[in-house]
Amino acid sequence: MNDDMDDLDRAIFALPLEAPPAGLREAILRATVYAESIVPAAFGRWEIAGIGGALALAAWFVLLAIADRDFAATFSAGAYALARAFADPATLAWLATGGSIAVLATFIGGGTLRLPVRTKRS
Amino acid sequence: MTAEGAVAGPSDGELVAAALGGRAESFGTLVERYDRAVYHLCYRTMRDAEEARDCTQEAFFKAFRSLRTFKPGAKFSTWIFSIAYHACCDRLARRKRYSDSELSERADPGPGPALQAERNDEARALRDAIDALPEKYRTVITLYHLQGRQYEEIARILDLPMGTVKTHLFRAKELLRKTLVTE
Repeated sequence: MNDDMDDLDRAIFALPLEAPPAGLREAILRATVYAESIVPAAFGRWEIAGIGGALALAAWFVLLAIADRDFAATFSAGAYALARAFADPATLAWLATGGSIAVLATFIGGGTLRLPVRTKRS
Repeated sequence: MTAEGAVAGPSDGELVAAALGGRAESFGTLVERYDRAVYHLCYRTMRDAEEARDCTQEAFFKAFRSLRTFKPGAKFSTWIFSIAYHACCDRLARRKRYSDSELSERADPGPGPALQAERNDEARALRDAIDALPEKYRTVITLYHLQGRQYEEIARILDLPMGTVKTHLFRAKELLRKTLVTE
């Protein structure tokens, strides 16, 4: 009986693996390593749109500032006021509080994606 | 014989780390190491060359996409076999038509004249006997072949308790032995 099982074990381990069909490896590599869509791009579509929009806005402001001296003065005053507001310790404290609450809410809310549990096969 | 054997060059873990670090071609080396073993597992589970091919592709695709979830220190072979096995199960479940009788019809057609002589060959007889096993035994035997006697790894792949794996393996061997003796 044990000899039978030993022989069977030997036969099982001696079995050659099935030969995969021609072109399988290339197909896998094309779908993974060489697939352009899977290679993470340096910037996403929305990031590119955001950066482009911000650059266009900045260019528009610069052009307005050059063309209109009054706008330049108003803009400078507004920018100065904004910079002062953000330099205010009270504003910074409120911003820090808001950020902390947002981070805390993410953890408490269970940001982890839970996948359905697979049924065991017997 | 196991799927891994002695591998020269970087370890699987190092290749995964390299692929995650931006050298995607490292994953290609992993594909070269395991595509045959994964295809073998899929073929034995599905008993259909076309579906085995699809499952193998799907397994590597899923592995590549979720490479970040691979736990450092884990065995890549166990991980990829698990993905492949579950891809096969999903496919079988989706079909709904899955049953042993149907699979018998779906199994390889009988050997042609050229293969008839090979029928007598011991390996061919064993392969046929494995193909005739119920799916749960067939998969355990296939993983036993691929992973060696590493029951814990087999249990992890199949998501089954180790005791169940050992029982399945014992029954599978018993069935194989009986089949081969009667032939």
